[in-house]
Amino acid sequence: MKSSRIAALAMAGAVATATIACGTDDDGGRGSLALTLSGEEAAEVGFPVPGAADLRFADGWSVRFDKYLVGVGNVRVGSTEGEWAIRDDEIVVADLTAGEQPVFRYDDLPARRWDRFGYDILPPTAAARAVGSVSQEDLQRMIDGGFNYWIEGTASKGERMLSFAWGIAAPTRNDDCRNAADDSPGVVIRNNATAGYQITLHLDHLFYDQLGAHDGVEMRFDAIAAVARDGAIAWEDLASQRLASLLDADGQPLLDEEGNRIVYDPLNVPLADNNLQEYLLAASRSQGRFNGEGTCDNRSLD
Amino acid sequence: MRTVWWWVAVAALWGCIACGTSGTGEEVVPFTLAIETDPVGRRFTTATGWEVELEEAHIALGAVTLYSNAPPTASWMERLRGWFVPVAHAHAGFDEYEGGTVRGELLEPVVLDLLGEGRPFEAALEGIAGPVRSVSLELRTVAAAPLSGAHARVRGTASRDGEVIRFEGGLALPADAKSRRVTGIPAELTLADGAEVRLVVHPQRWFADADFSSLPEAGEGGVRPIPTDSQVHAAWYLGARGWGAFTVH
Repeated sequence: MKSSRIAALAMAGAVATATIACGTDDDGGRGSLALTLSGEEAAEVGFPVPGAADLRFADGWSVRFDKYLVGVGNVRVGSTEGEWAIRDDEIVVADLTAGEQPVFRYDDLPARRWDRFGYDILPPTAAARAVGSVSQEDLQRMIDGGFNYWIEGTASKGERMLSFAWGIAAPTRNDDCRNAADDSPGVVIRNNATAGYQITLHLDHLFYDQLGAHDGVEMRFDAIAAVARDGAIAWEDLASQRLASLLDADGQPLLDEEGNRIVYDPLNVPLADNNLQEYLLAASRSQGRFNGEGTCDNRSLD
Repeated sequence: MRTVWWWVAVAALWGCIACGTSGTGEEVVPFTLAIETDPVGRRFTTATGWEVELEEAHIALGAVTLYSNAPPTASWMERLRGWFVPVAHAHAGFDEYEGGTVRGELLEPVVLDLLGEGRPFEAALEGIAGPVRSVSLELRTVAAAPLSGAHARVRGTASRDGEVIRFEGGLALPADAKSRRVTGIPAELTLADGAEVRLVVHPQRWFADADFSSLPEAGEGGVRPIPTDSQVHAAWYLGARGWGAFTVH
């Protein structure tokens, strides 16, 4: 009998906890949240992006993407008070070259501002859902390789054309995202309405010559192109480029447009090794944004 | 009714205790900021296989700032805690990093003799009590000797496979502010009354990827300079501001 009472109390406590955690305050009504995923215009047309002066390579390269697959999941919507509206462990894989696509929808949510929004960029599991044109073969390749990105494309400069097909394993948590529209934290769910938000990826960050900064950085491709063999840039070969000794295809120091030595600068971001492959892994972690230019705190999930 | 006012008074008193004596709810506390040199920084072996012995190492630091936010290298517990404990909203990580609340700062530049006797620097400061999860700083330049306009200056000897190279030079950073800042140095401290914050400089990180054989031929005295367009300068540029160049304890 005593144990039954304890069990009943425990049950009541659990229900109360769940009630608080799930936020059943219906005073504001209930609504839905629809999330789309976008790599913006760059994913569709590549670089340079027409009309965008800052979305071009300083060294004259053009890059087009045939596939820009990304695994996204673990959507979290909560409040700083510790309440949760959504903690969803589903992972989807979408191809950003297909344009903005719907990826998640959540209904029957308490209508209010939820000031904490986060998501992960991570490799898919067997339970992951392929979105749109993503093939089962591509999905399986990402599962097998533990890749959160699979990027295929071509780079060209003058008569030179190079291909690349890279699997990138750099799982990243994006927390405390802020709406680009007004820099407000999280999302607002409205009564009897569907709130639409976009998980945005900034592809240009992958090619910046400095981590953790935007002002004064340049998009560069010469150092990447320099390791090409037989017209292809292998991901593994990027490790041969030392950040303090970047070389051109002829083995000479890589110089910028003004004749200065090019240095990719990780600032204080720790790299496993000071080579270009590790640098790009870290750069890939900075792509996650929210509703366009809205920022998130991004951290390694390794 | 008197009972109600009594409880109001108790609550107000508790609020004062909880918030400290500051009108803003922040407690100002004295603390010591010490800057030290890693003993290994005098003699070390680089990743490129050079055995380096420094005879002189100077650097100028300024705007050392203690922040409440953790850098992207925060531990899993730190990340987990972030979802349960309200935090100041600031943007942090592999994208642009912001430190959040300033707990303490040293504004004036200090020139440090990293290989001298004792601690290169120690100062009594005041700060805001609370957790310090990261530190940022600036590398400064001073026109007077020993830096003579450089942000850091070294003299030493590098040896590898029987080759011995004496070198000497200054680190010249670009004019833009971001190239002179080191942000997000991890810290796990609580700033409290009498706390000591130790910022340790690790000169052995400066030349981790340097190839001293690429330095130009020696001039008079057999000492090779470190030109700003050299590989060694590029390695120094990255190493002096990069991960592990500074730690906080």
